[in-house]
Amino acid sequence: MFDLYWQAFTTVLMPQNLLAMALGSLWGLLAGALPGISTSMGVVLILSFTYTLSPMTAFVLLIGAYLGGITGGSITSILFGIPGEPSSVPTVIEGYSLAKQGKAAYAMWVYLLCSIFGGLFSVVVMIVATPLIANFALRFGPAEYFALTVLGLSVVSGLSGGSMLKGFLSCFFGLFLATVGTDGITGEERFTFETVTLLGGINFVVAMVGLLAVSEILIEAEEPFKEYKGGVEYRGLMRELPPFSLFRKYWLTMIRSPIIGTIVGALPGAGATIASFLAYGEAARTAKHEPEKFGKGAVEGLMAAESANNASTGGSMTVLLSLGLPGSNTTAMLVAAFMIHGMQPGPLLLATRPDIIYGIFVAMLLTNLLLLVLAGTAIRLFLELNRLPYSIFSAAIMILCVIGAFGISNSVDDMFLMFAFSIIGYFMRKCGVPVAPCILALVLGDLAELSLRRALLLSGGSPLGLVASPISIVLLAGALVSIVYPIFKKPKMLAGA
Amino acid sequence: MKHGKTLSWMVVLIFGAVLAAASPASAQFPERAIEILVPFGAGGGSDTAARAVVEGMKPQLKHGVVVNNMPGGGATKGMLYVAQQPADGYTVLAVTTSHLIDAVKPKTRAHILNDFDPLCRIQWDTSGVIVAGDSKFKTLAELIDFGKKNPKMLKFAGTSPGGWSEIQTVAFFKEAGVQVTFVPFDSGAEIKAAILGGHITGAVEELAETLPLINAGKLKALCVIMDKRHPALPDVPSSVELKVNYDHGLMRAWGVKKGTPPERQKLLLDVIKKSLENPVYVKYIQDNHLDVRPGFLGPEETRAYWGSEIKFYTDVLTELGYVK
Repeated sequence: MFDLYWQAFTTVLMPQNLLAMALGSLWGLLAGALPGISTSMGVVLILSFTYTLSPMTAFVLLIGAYLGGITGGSITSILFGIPGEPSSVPTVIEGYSLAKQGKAAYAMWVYLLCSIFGGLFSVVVMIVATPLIANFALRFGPAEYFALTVLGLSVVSGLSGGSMLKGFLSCFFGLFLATVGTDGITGEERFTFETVTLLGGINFVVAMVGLLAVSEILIEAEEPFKEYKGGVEYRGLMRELPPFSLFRKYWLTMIRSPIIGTIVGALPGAGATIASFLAYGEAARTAKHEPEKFGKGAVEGLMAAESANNASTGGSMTVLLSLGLPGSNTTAMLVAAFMIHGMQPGPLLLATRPDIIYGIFVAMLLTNLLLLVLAGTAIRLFLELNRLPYSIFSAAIMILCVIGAFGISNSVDDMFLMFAFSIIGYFMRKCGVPVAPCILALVLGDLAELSLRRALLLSGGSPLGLVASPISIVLLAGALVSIVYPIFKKPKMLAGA
Repeated sequence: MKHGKTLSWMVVLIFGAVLAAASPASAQFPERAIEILVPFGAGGGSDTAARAVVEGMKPQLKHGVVVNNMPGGGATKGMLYVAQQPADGYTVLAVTTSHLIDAVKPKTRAHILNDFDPLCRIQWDTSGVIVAGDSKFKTLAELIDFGKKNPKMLKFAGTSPGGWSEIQTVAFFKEAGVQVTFVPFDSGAEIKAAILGGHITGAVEELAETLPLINAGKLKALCVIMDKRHPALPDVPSSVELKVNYDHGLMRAWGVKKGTPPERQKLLLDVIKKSLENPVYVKYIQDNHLDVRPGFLGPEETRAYWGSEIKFYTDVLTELGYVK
């Protein structure tokens, strides 16, 4: 066992592998930070360079790109308010609010430290308990997935800010948006207006960029000469380092979020996005210190989302390495990489190629540490941009948004759709309807609907099938508490104070 | 109308391009890179297949080959794109079974038989009936026996409702005289997780992806769907051996827009045919067990094959109520 780790360490620490790790991580950070390139696209683009590399070098490179992408997605989220990845939406909500208050550097530190903590946490869990996590993930059938999404949706109350009524309005709009596209159970077309663009449904990123980033610019454009606070109060990175007491204060979130992240990341139907939303929602729901700050720059929300987001990588890899099942598009690319190098990811891989498995463990560990340095440097460069006046800054954001929406599937239609969402988002903000519940519902809606219908197909139409296992009972009970509790606690919220 | 003006310029340009392409000076087809349009995202089955062929095409074509992924709307978006390009042989569509199934549905936006000419079929994949390794069903006969006594109680997972996955599941079991419930999932990984976790009876799935889990004993193949046994699973009987008269499989082919000059089609076919012997491609099909049945069919055989498959899908989909 220790021999294998020792061997893995010496292999990964060879100069060509370290170089591959650094290049992969840098590329991943860049791909994740650019809205037009998702983590999975980043991994695909680099995959074609691995044909001629030795297997270990190839995996070190790809893991660098994977972890770098997940980490980099949040840089643009905090600084520009553009979600580089669907999983960074909670980061946009809290991190960008902090940046607007002139706390960009502080938010960056929190994000970076929590990301790396989450990543390392999940790697350690993965090394210690791969079979355990994988078996637990397998116990999630359609009924359990449904219960999980209900729990996810139930945190709307925590995301609604002032009025729960408006929060639910936004949530139901999101659920409606999730029904657009080809019905996953019958193959019927719904609300597609005979266009090909909408056949695949509304792309998360298109909707999010419109609702969050562009609508924000529209709002800000009402006051063209306002000075951007981020540029004024920025004091240099080292002076903004958050004190350790911050993490002690929110220790519960710091422990709970990576656990949520690792488990949800291991579910093939869920992944990083749902993990970060669930952890964020849990933090919002149970916040003891300053719950009113959620949606307006709550550090705790940022911590929860970021640590869960990065912890999902370990969860995903657990199922990939022990069962050969890719939980996300990105890990599906890693399957392709295994095939290119003549290996079949699956239960037998540990027996046939332990060197690769242990090498991957070690590479993930080291990549997380390397990212701390690389992302720290990248953040410093990015923060310089923050000194620009908002009028110029917002134009740059707008360009990135357009490129991002177009880049997802090289489609001009997606670009127009993004602008349509920006106008919807503008009016939602004007009416005080929070945008976050809508996005949460859009992300979870599809999985919620499909897993409900799958569960009913499996139980022959009987709703009892939904509460047949302890996992789903616990999750649904949690959801019930989270919906009912705030109503009793603050009856005024329903009225829309 | 500024827009109108741009549009008319574009028409002139395109017209010019078509003229230029048709002029005798272009006898040396191709004069620029050939675009291979893969109607699915990068990294998927269709994409890796196309890229493996392209590896062998590159050295043969002076101006190169470009793979363009255009996912969306099943595989419809990419097909529409090729149908809208000039019929000059510069855009080649990677055709899959989904396009044939599309041709059955009333809402078809482009028709694979009417709007395209096949170049060749390159692959004919093999599926198997997969259940959990610890499933109570030890043989296909037991499964069929249970299914006959308990209609609709066998729950089988797949992807794409109304698509290939549902057709092969339902049609196979219909041939065996069993009514199953088809439960669609989003990806092969979710299906396998659902079988491993005991949430569903099994699935009818392409074998290559499931082999690692079968070899580890976590999953079990009750039969392979073809006329002979699969070399990687010598102990598993074939469907024809078990007297279930069904051997359809997922196919991959190449096609160009209808009306592409025959000599260009011929040239493309020759290039593709030659690249199928390239070591990169040969290794790829061996690794993925795509060489179990001969995949290659010439243009006319491919057209006939497409025709008969579409007829078969029409029957199945009519019975399922997707086509009225």
